[in-house]
Amino acid sequence: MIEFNNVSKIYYSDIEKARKRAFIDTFWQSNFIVQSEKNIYALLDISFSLKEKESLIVLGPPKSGKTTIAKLICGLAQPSIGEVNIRGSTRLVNSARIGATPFMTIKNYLSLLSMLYGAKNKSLPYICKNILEICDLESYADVRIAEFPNELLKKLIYYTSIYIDSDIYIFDESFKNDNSEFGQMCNARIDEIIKTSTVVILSSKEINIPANNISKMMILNEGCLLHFGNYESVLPLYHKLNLLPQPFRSDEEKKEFKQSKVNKKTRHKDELIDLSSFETNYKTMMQNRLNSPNLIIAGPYMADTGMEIIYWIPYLRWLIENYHLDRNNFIALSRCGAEIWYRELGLRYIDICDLLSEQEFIEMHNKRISKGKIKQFSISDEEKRLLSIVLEKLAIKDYNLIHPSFLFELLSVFWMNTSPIEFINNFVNVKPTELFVKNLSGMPDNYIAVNFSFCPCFPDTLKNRQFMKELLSELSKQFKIVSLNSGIQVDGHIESNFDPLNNIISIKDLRIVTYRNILELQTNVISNASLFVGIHSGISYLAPLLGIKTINFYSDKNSGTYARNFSFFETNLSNFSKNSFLLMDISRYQLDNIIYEIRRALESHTSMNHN
Amino acid sequence: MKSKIFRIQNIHDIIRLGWLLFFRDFQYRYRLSYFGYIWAFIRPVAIALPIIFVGKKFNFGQNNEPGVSYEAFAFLGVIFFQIFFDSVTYPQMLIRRVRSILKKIAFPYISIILASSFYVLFNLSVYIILLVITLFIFNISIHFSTVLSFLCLPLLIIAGLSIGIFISPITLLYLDIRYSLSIISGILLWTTPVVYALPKEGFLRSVNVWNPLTYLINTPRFWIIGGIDTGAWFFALSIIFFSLLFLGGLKYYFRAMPIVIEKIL
Repeated sequence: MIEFNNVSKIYYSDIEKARKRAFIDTFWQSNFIVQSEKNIYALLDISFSLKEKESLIVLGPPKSGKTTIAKLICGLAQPSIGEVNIRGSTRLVNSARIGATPFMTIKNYLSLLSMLYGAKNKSLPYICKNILEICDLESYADVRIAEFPNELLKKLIYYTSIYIDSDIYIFDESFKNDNSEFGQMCNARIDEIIKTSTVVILSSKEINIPANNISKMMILNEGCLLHFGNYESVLPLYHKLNLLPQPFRSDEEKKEFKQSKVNKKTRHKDELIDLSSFETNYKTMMQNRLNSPNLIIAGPYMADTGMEIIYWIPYLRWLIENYHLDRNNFIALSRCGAEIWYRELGLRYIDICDLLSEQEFIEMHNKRISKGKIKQFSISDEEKRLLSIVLEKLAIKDYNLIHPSFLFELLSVFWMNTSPIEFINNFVNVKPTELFVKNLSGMPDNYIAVNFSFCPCFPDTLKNRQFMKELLSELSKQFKIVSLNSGIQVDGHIESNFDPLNNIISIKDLRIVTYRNILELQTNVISNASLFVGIHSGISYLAPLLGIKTINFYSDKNSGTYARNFSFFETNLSNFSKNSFLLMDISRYQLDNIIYEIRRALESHTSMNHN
Repeated sequence: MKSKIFRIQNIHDIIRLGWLLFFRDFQYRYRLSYFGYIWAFIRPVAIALPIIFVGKKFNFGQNNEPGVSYEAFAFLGVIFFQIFFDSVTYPQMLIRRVRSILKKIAFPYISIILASSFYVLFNLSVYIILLVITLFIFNISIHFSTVLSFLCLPLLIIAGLSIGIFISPITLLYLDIRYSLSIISGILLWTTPVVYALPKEGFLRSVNVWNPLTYLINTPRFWIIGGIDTGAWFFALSIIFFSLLFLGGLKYYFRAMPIVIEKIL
């Protein structure tokens, strides 16, 4: 159990003063804090509690106080004000070389490390033997530290820190979630830890971890607790970090924030929303916004491709139909050749790739991906710049902006898991799509279009890579395959690169694909395919909407917001396309079954064509 | 301002951890030297020999009873003093050696004291060998009181630890105490009748009489080879004094450690 009661942590920037204070405190501890402008407030009035076997993820930018919280939990620091109650043993997981001397053998060092981590004397030989076996280092037991590779030692230390049982585990920027062999070994143990112990994960960026593994989430900024509550309700709020208060200029500002209503409100409370009043207010807001003859600009849309297909375009369709908007007075702003999707709405379209040079677009795009700001919860400086270019080009002064953040605000409520699917259906209109596409030259007849990319619902793991390789290898032996791999990353999804196989044509081989036309080309390939096979994410959502028989895969349905997106998509698709879509969890199906389903889908498509 | 950490630790685990911490440092220290463990024997002999030589020259043992060999008298005094002073210095030495671990892992701090005790016990084993050799060389017969004096050796350790555990957390903040230990060692050596017999009068006698260490060294030494008997009662009072200091030191140690660990540089 972890309990923080009004905890503040103040560091004196003057080391001499700090040591003098510590010396006096060893004899007589007073509540007196030396006031100084140079004091560093690492934490300010933090209160939260975590029960046994609950898990907490703490997100915040650097210098927000995460490491201080970790130290307070582990007992490596004392609070300046307030009280910290910890029940149980704690473990700060890391791979630092703690206490190693050159003459120690690996076995002796492992014994020392295990005892430092609280292993029992009786089971020490068994523990050391197990760890060496698991890390495949038994033959190195008698090798001295001085002669042992540092990287292997770090791995051994890390694994020891998670192997020895503890009541509370703290991962301070040390949460391993990589796909190496060692990483997967650690993942298995970490999964076990999350189920059986209390876990606190502190990170400055989002971590790919199944949502059902995390109970609570906390957002920190500049030592202040901004949000604390259930993971699903707090996660969307994290994306609004750029809306947070500016860094404090003085201690007075910090004090004010501490006493502010926002801080008190968000402490310990989940955000509960009255859906019906939210819906009424939202629609009234949109009514007021759109109730003018000004030109409407929707966009610029630069977020996930999948969100654009299943949410953004249906959202625009709903706006047009619900508010009876003039399509001639409506411009859609998107990128990478998405015009083909907006054509059906009858809107004017401007592509961002026409406003910037390819180099500028790539730089802007990579910057967004590296910052993790794919979802557009607010308008960024780059987007403001793009809008000003559009306004200048069209010589427009007055306009109404429908920014994707209006949609993401709705989605935040939807993703919180407190609202039913009908809630979001009140704001979108999902329909099958009829697109006018041209046949691409160089494409074979009766091909299967495939799209495999790595995303939270299909992470880049050894198992997933193996599945993908085996599936494509089997498919390429029996069918003609066209891959949507382009070498171009349109959003946060990472294309899976696989070795060239016979019978697989990739659109990048056509040498006509650019940032400007990638989505159009991919749409062409999908719409002319006999069958679509891919990961249920991104452009894969388009295939069933085009009426193309689709078999999509996932390996982790519960990651992030995917569970909600899946439910929404399946519900809407079932309204108009009963037999054209199959969604498969790869952990439940053998490869032979999957190939059988693919063959069956292709045969039924062929027989339909003959009829 | 409280940080309550509730933990239940098995005593065997703590002792084992203390042993591992001791062995880690012990191995490192002696492996880095050419003569290795032989230094444990060389040190007390090298300290004692010049003092004994000078002491014999200036007749430091003049106040002793006749028949008491000065060399044995002085060497035994040095051994007992060294046992005491090792217990003063080793806790602070070891705590500085494990400070990198203290910054990263919260483990039972008492294991550091245990580790320093293992160091002292190792040295004690060497001193006992030297003691036995001394008894043999100077033909000192073994009585019941000889056994008693050997049983006093752990009390000397506790007396030294009572000061050692008190100063060890402070050495994580300030090194002044560590630097001054050699000075304190010299002052203590000459204000305690280690290599000289207790004077019959004068200022030095007053200093010796009020120094509790006097009784911890004189009484066991008297029980082995004779000399001046300072009285079992004063010896018992010294034991009580140092025991209380030990308990107080422990309390201060547990209180101070969490505070100073944050400030480790």
